[in-house]
Amino acid sequence: MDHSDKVKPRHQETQEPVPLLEQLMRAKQKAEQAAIESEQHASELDAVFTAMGDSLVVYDSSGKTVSANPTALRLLGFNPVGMERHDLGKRVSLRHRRGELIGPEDLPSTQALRGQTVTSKYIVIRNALGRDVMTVCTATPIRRRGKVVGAVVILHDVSESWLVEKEKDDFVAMAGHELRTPISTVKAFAQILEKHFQHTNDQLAKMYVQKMGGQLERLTHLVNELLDATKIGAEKLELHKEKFNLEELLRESADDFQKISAKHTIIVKGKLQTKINADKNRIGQVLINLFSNAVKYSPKSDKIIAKVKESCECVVVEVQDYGIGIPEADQKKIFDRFFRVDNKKGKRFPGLGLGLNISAEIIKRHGGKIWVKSTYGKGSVFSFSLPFKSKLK
Amino acid sequence: MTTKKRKILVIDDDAGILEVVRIILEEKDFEVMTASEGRGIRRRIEKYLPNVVLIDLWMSGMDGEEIIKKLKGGRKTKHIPVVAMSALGDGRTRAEDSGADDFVGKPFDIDELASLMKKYARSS
Repeated sequence: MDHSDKVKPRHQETQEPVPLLEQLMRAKQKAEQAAIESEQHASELDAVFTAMGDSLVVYDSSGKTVSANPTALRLLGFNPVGMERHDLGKRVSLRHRRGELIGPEDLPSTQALRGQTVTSKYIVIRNALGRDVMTVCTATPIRRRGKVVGAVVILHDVSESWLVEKEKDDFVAMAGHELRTPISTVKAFAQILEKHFQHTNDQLAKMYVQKMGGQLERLTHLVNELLDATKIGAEKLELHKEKFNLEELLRESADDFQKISAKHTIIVKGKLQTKINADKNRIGQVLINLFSNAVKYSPKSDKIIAKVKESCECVVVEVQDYGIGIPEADQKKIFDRFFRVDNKKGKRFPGLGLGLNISAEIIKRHGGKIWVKSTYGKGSVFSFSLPFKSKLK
Repeated sequence: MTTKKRKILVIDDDAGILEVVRIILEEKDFEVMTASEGRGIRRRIEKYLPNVVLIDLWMSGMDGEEIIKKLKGGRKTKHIPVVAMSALGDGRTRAEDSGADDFVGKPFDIDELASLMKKYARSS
């Protein structure tokens, strides 16, 4: 069978068939040219691979390391010269930010080999020298004709900025401790004085010392917020779970709050039979935060309604005020750290802008949700839900 | 008949805290002994045998957590209830990890502190 006539190359001008040898010569030249280009391309890629400031590790489909650039080898604690690439994984462990080991199924390379892309994930690498390196990791599958044949993992070393961040967190934790110690003494003495004036029936002195106590509570609250914000930043917010009835906690918290803020009446509605498994102190903190916001942002009203109800596998709490409300554009940002709503005259309300962010984190860590519905000028309803079988996240 | 006073040993490096805790607990009829440094603390506890030890977790020059572990591991002292107190954000976890029987966060409510001491002094 000969199709050569159809495909036989011809000279452009004479249209004479090109002799076989000439054809071969041309093909050879073409192939050589392609090889040179390919080599150039490869050396360009190699230069990028070698000079890259970020660590790059390439895996084959079985998860074995195929290559790693010098930056990666240094980061992983190996000598970049003459090393056995497939040994990389054996002396290195990957951890979450909170310190727990990442299981084999959750490793970025494994995820990429399953066809998933991992983007900007914080990972602590304990390298072959035993040193912890904080990295931001990206992992991508390598596909050939639609099939995953390998994976590329890129690690960006953020240890330095992380250390600065950690130093800042340690400083705030230490400062919080140093501030709380004298507050403890002053608060205790104020309580002793209050009892003393109660005993001597000196009502005026008792009232003054109670006012001092109120301001001390405020100071304590500010220090606590600062410390909580630091813990959230470092993912160190701890939960101590116990079983309790949320309706009871809501009523107790409303009563406690009522003692320090008499202007508004908190009306509690709803009944709850089932107990939830959650951190009672932390959920109480969320309730107090919602009450204090409701009071703070409704200076011209005197009523707050708190409701509790069951709703498919969840318990939902709502705190409604009739205050200034939140403009729609601000509603999305309301749970962000440091965000605060201004009033119509652009005046800031007091506070650090941390309360809702902390509340949102507490609810999120319980596997619940928090949200707001608000009409500007009319008031807001803040709600959160908690699953009955609350899981630690 | 006079009942014997219950003894509480308070360990803290802050003089202000020691002073106010002494006032609160003496008012509740406890016998209060204070210590502001860790030197010889185990011997003092073994000799004094308090009904409750109230100890700060983070002090300069001594490690409250270490002291609690030693007390809870010591033959003569392991039965003594230990209440940890701290102004640290993760104080409760540290207290649990070191084996303390209970925890009180700083700043504390004086009535809560007193009732916690009563609870453990009664049980020991």
